[in-house]
Amino acid sequence: MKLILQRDIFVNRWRVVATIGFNQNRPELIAILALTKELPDGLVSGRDVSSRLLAGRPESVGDRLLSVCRMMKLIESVPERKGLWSLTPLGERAMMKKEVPVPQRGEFELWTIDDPLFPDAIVRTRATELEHQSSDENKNVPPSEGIPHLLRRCVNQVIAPPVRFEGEANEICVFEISEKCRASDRVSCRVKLEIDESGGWAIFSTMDRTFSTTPELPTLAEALSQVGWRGSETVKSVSFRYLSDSDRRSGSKDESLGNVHLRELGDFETGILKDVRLVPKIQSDADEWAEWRLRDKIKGYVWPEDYENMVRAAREVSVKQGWQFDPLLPSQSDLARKIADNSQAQRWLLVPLEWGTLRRENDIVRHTILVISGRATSPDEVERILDECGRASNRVFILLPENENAKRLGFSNEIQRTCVIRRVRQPPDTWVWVEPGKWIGRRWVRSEASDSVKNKKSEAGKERSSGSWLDLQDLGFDDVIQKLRRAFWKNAREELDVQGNWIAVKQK
Amino acid sequence: MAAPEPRRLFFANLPSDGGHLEIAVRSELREFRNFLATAKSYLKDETASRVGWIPERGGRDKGAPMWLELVPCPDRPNEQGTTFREFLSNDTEFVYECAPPSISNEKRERRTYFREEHKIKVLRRNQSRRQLLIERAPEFTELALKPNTYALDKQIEAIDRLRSEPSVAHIPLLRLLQHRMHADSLWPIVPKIVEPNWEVLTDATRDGTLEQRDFVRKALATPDFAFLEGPPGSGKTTAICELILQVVKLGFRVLLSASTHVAVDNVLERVADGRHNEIVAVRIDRRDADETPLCVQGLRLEKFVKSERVRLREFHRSNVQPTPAEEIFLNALESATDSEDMIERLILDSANLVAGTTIGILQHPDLKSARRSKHPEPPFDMLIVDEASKTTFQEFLVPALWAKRWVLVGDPRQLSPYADEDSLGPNIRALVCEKWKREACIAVDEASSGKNKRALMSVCNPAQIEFIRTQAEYVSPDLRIETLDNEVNENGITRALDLAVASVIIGGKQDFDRLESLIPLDFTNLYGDISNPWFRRLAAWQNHTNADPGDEKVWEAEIAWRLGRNYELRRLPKSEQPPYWGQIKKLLPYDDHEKVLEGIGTVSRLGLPSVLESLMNGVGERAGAKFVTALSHGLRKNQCASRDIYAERSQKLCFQHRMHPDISSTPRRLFYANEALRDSTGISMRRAWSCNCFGDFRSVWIDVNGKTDKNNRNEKEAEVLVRQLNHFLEWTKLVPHPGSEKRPWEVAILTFYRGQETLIREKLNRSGLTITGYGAYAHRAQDEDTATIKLCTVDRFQGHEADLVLLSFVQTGRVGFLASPNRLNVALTRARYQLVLIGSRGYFADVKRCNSSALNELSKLPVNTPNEQ
Repeated sequence: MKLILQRDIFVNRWRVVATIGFNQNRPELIAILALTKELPDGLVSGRDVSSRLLAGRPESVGDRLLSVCRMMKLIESVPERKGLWSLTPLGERAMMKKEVPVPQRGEFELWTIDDPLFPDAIVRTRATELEHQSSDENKNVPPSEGIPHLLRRCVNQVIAPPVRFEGEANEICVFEISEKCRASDRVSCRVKLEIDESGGWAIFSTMDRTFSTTPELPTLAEALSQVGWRGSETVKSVSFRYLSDSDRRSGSKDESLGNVHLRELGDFETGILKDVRLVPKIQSDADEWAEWRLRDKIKGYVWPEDYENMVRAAREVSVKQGWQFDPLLPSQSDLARKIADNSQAQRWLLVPLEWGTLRRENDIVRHTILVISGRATSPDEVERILDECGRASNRVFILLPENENAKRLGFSNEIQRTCVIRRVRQPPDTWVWVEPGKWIGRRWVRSEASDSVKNKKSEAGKERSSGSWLDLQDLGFDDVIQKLRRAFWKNAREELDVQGNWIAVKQK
Repeated sequence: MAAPEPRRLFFANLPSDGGHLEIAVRSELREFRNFLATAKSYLKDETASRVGWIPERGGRDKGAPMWLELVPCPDRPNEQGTTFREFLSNDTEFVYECAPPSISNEKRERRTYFREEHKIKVLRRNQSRRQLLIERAPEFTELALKPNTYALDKQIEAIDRLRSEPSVAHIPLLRLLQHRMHADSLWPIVPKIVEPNWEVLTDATRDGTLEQRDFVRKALATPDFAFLEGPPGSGKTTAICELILQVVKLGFRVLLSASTHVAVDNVLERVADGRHNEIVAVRIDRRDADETPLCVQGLRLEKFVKSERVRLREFHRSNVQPTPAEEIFLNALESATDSEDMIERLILDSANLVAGTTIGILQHPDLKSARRSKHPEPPFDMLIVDEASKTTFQEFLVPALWAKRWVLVGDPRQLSPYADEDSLGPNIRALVCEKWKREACIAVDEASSGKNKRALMSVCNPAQIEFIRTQAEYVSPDLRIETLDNEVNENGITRALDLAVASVIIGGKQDFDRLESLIPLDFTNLYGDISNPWFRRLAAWQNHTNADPGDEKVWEAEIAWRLGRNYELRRLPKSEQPPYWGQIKKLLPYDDHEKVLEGIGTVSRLGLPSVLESLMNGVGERAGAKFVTALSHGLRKNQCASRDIYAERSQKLCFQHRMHPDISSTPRRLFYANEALRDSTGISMRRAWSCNCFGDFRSVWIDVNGKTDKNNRNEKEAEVLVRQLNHFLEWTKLVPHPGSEKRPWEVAILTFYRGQETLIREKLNRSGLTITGYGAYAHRAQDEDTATIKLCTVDRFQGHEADLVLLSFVQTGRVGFLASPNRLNVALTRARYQLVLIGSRGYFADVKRCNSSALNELSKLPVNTPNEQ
């Protein structure tokens, strides 16, 4: 379960002249900070630096390096102890992180958000390029103004701006912001606060990019109690008939909370409690719901053992989702009967029951499989095709063209009398014939029609049936295999075993 | 008036008056930026440094590495030393093989130089021998180099920073560009300071010390600028040393820059000699280590980093029980990736004196890597620019932005910044966009020069023909211009006669080809779109008449050199000034005369004056300027400003400690009106010697009646010079240098012309002297150097000095380069013991022939008859 709260925020952009520190690896300065820490009273002098680290260079060199540290606000002078320096909190931090904020002064664009979710206020720091061209000289520029309190309070703070584009620092130290700044832009965006059991974060989008930050947030339980959601209501009993299909599938739904207020974080315009768990209210709801889930799972021929697995899974889900009722589920044949006559789902349930004798032995198919492109076939061709390869086939896959023509289904019906057929949409004119003895991949290629024949055809509105088989070796066999693989064996428990140009069907 | 709203936030955040300052800075610096950008674009797109080469060793196998010696290209026999230095620089990683350009299509060929297939990697360099080891033998006879625009880039960047992102510390720089009426009251009064403890200037009784001290006091107290003017040998370097020591004692950091290596090294040698422990000095230098004086070598950043790394490693490795802090430091020292960076950073952060030449300082790692200001405030408390009279304002700005106070030292009576025709030319060219118009102007000017010049010019339309005719009338109404048109045919005998006497023949390209037989052979210049056979005809004629094929006139170059020379001669009395302005005016298009002239004035204002002179006297008013600034009119009191800010911050040195009084007297009279260059007490004694090679006088003529060739060489002078040198060298075997340290005598052979320098070098190379570098020799006796000899042009010798100076004048019939009083001043003030002037004294003494009062005066110096033995 997750609490999602949203509100609009404003991102303000300011042009400022500032001194901002960007972290750099400066081991010599880190060593000086460490030296300060280990000296008595934590006080360091130029002489200490020169003698302990610089092998006796003049004291002025040590003093100079200390003044560099002082410029970075890593050390501060000690009142009444002239020439001695102690670590500042920033210095302590630099020592821990082994990086010092090296100050740069220049014009920066600072993005700020005045919102409790962003306690640092500065969400982005971008150094502007040195500008020199006179092209903007005639442009009207807005008047400069005093820096807002929001920025003033960032001075001497270490900030991790959540908005970072390529090459921008993930941590900065704001040393100084000059008194005059210029507001350059103000855009609104929506911030989404997500709180779940593992914690929480705020997400917002600007400049076509999404950024996140992890402010200090209450726990999910605290937040739920603040928004008035009763702690016990983590599960909701519902009637089956009032559920949408997606709720039935997931077993959960989102609850709208309307306007929400969180202490210290303020008001949110919308609050949603995501994934509130749903359970059936009464036994009949449980039965109907479980049966609905079974039917929802039927996407192809269902072998009896598959059906058993489906039933088992449905029960497991109900247990997992904390149903109080054990759902009563129909057998495969009962379910087939319950389903409307001649529907596809009914056939998928019934045919495997009737076709049980055709099962594979030792995971190897012992029967010829014929894969025919529906488009390539027409009633005129049926006899010849069946004579040639279909009579011995127990299973036929028909690859139907995109614009399936009902007329051609006559052909599949013909075959269906002796075979189980499966129809899949495939590019036209693809046939593959797979036979245990020979196992040859072939393709039916229609012969070119002469102009006179074409004219005749257009007059008669009939297709030509002449053509020939070609070995698939040079005719995109791999492509066909890939398509078949995707079409047939995505979820099935069998797969195409392809060796060179040979195909077999194997059980997984 | 209410202050306008600043556009840039940096200006809005300046303490006050940001709006006015921004407007002033924008308008005043815009011209500088455009000037630099135009020069850069020209350099990038239209130039290439070219040299020839001869095989040295290796390279027998095709594709094998080979050593080759760089030589001037046949079409540029007097190639500048800087070109070779560019090729031999450590920064040069690749050169490009190329064929010599033909007459008509140099520009087009330039674009084909830099193809990938012509690129050859440089493996090693030998600067002193001008040799390169390259990865394979070139297939063409010349090598080209991609132009280096780094210095210009940095100057543009500095201007952009000042225009966009000035810090509070830069306000005095900005104030230079502000209306003096507003700015004058803002310049603070330089406060008086407590007398420092003098480190170098300890002897107050020494002539000039009090002046030097006054300068140091002013420089320490100034919140912005301080200036020191001093003639040659007046102790400017000593004063700089004292200033550096005082500034460092206060815990501040100094950036030292000068236009020559020797000026920088002289200061470093004296302040970083180990006696002043508080100085941590770093030398930024891209020369080969062996070119750097021994005492400064250890301060070179690369060497400093290496030696410091070794020293610190040894120290920390010997520590058997390191603390965590020491361990962090040692780990970084041992790390292959961090170590060098860390030490370099450590040195750069802790150095309180960073020094380099104006160009060399650009190699400072921070300056190289910084696209923008990385420092929260300028990292140096003071910038000292020595030889500021050779540094332009835009060159000065690059290091200036790194400092909070600026000290300029120099002598405006010595050489001004190099008048770079590569910068002036393109900016002048931009004033007249149409190429045909520029060519028409130069064609007409050449034809009217009275030097028997005749031009053919191809034109496209009647408007162009009309322009040329009017331009001719404007320049010289007598000029004969003939047009080839449809009425002229091959049988037009009358017209053929007209064409034969025409100064400029104009017509379409087809007309030239159609009427080839009518056009006389003796044309000297071709302009416009003309087919190749005409260039071959021109070459044949030049060959026949022995004319110089390289004598092709380019409009902007003709104006640029005159502009440069005119500036050089600005101190001459009007009667002696050559009529360069008049000549420039004749080159301008009649229809845009005023505007182009104004533009040329701007180019001159931006490209020629030094920062020192600019702040003293100003560079002149910007066209269309509404107010007077410190940069345009100087910081001195003038009709527009009542306060003399310059005087408050400047100091002059009057005594010289270098030259024997005989040597200094002439330049003192000629160039300093007897006010400066006064001889310090005891200088005569300090320059006593027993040498009588040149007679009794320390400043003497050796009168040589030689002849100057077209390449500015004078064979006879060179011969006499070498003889005189040998004579002196013999003497040095017997008499060691009188200094306390055992060192050889220093001889400088100076000349005003590169052609003569080349000639003398050829002679010296054959004279048995030991070659120690390019133009550097040593005379050895019994395994010891008795004398070192340096050969170079006068311009490159500014900042140097020598015991004996042999100066070859070359010219025997015209004044040429010698007319520049600043150049002559430099030439005459280099010698400590003896100055020998070698030239045609008779010509210089002839007031009618030689229109230079300085040279006339100089000719009155005593003569020593050359010793022919």
